[in-house]
Amino acid sequence: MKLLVPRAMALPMALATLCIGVAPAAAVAPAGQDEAWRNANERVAKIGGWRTYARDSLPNDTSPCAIAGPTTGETLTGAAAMTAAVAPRPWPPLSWQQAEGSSRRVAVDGDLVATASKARAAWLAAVHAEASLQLAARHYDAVDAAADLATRLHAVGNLPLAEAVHEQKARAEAAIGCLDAVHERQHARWALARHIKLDPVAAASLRLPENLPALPTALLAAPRQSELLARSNQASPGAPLALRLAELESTYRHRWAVAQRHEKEIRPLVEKLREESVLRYNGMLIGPDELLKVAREALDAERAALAALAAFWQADIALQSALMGHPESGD
Amino acid sequence: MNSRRQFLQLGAAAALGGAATAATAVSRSALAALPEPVIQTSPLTQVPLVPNNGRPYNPVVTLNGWTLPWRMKDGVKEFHLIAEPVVRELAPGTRANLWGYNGSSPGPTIEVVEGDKVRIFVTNKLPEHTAVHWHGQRLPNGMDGVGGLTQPQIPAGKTFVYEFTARRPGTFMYHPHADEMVQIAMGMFGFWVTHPKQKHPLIAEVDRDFCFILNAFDIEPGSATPKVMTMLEFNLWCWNSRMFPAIDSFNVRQGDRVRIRIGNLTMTNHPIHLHGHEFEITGTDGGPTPKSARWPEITTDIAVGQMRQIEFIADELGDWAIHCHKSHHTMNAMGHKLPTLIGVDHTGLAAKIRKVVPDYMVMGERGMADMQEMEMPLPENTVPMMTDTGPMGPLEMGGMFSVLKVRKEQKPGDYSDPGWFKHPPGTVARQVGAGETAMTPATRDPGTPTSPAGPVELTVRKPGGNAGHSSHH
Repeated sequence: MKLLVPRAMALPMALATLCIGVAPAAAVAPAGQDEAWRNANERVAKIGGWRTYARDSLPNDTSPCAIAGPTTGETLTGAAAMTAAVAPRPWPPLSWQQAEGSSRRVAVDGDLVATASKARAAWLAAVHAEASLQLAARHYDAVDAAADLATRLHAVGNLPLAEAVHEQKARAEAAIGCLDAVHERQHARWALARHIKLDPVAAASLRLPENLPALPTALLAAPRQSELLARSNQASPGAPLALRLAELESTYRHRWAVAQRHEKEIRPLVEKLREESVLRYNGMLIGPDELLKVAREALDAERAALAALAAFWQADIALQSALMGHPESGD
Repeated sequence: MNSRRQFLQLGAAAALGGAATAATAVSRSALAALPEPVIQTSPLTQVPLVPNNGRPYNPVVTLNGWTLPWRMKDGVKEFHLIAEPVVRELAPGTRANLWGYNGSSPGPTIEVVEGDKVRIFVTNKLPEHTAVHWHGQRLPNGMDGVGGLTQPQIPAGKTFVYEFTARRPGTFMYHPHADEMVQIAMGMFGFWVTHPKQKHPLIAEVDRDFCFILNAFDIEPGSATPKVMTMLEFNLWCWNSRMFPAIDSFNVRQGDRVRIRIGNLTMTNHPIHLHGHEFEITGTDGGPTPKSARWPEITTDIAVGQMRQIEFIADELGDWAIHCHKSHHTMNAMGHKLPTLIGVDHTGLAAKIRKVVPDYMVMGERGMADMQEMEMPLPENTVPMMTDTGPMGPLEMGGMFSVLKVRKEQKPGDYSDPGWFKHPPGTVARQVGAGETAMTPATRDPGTPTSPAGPVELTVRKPGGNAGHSSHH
């Protein structure tokens, strides 16, 4: 079958394939091949190269990670969420000293501590989901660019179909990741609204920070493990709590150390890798496909760093809750 | 010559002074009479070393290199080679961690005369043992320099001595025959020229006599030390451990008889091509070629381990390219897994990629030449794949490329760069001006039989003023 493609239409056709994913065979079929090839060369010559492309603007594609989020109103901080959860009582200061008598207070304040810890955990999960969605969106952008590039490469005959399809499959998978992330975000927001008793209207317009709180530079002033264990050996009524505290504090310290390594060591290294990949691209040592691959790997590292930070804050909630005599809430 | 230590000429006092220095490097007191080693670290072509003793000869010019001075002792020419780690500027912006001889890679050229008795001290300052093979020489078997076969290896820190008579005139090399793959990959080799002792019917007297070795490194962009286990995938193509634009030009006088001696110590063949002239192979590594075996050529393929002498009369004025005709050998470091981007419109895509990689710039969709124009930052210690600007614009070259500069006014013995050629008016290719007559373009489809009835499309286009690509139709 001979497919006639008017010269002026050939490129729009190639671009149209981006929307449906796979380029039609006609784009590289022998019928119009010589014309298509001349046309492609002529077009890039006319565009004029990097100076023109430096002013290129984003197409109006909608990312599957896009959400119609609230744009007005105050951002709900973690402290505000907890305050809302336990209102009208103020949140007690969180120190070991005050936890000394907490096991005696637990019967009185247990509900309060549990409620506040759960609110804090819900807020944390919601902000984590918010940040995860941003990362999923950036991952989709990287995969979408790679798939777009591969599709165009194939359309002019520079890449086998299988390789283009491979990139298109990665984009389709990233789109599923977007769906999951959008859902996860919504789910976490509803859970938070439930914990802090927001009405549905307020829940819909809830604004959260884009990122988790930064890793604290210093750890909580908690007693040493040996001290805690010594207490547990005293066979006093506080012994089980002290053991549990030791366990939670160990997790807290471990997760802080892991999150800190992500922040202080891996992040700058990944940034260096990104910079080097650009230099290598400049030198035509790698292509734009590889450049996007490095960007994807950098996003993977960001995702791991975010997970480590969230894990730390979970441990923080569990430890603080235990220090106030309620070792199970928030864990 | 920019020697770190100036070579000391013959004389008892000088010899003793030299011994004091050399003795610190070697352990054997028996070698107290070693000639002072001469060190050269400049990567620029040094003036030829005119002999001041022994039989006279017309010295060679080592491209981006130098000739090792000797000491005449009791009728024997004594040389001192130091095998040692060196840092070589392959081109401005790229300095390689290599092994070489006497401060440089390649090592200095050794020049002698047919019949000369030669004594070469080799001091090993490498971390491992070495041995020097005198590639192509007729010599006693025990002087052939094959470690383990014809001699014990020269241990690190020790000095060995080789002695033989330079029996046949010609073009030779020297290189290690110990851990050979590694030591050659690290830059250890040098040239050797044995001049005829008298007029030779097959060896012409020439006005300019150049020599260089083809060599290759595998140095990852962003690093400095060659990967020594590489078999074939080398990425830096050099002449005497230099690559364009840092290879010096061949500067000659119009009418000169020019000889260029070339040896190949890479792991692949190199078709060396000269523009504007025809040459003959007047000698191989086996000696001068019989006149009946010479024919005019413009390209000669030099196989691995081979040497060729090309000769021609430089009678055409101008700047003539001379290069390896493997076009990827006239490029510097590049990636091999990049997709071809030619013809790919990036409208809407450029912004998408920039969203992910903010410093991204579109390159390659019109070919690779944009790369030179864009001049973007590269990994450290890396020369661009294509580079340098000539008198007419970007040259877009690298690797094994240089220029033969033929000038009327280049004085005998003057090897300095005369600058770019000044073309006589009307002798440079130019853009067709408006109103000039252009030839009728041929029909596009060669598969269609030419027939008055056939669908042959004849397009006559008026010469256009603006676009270079408008002649496609």
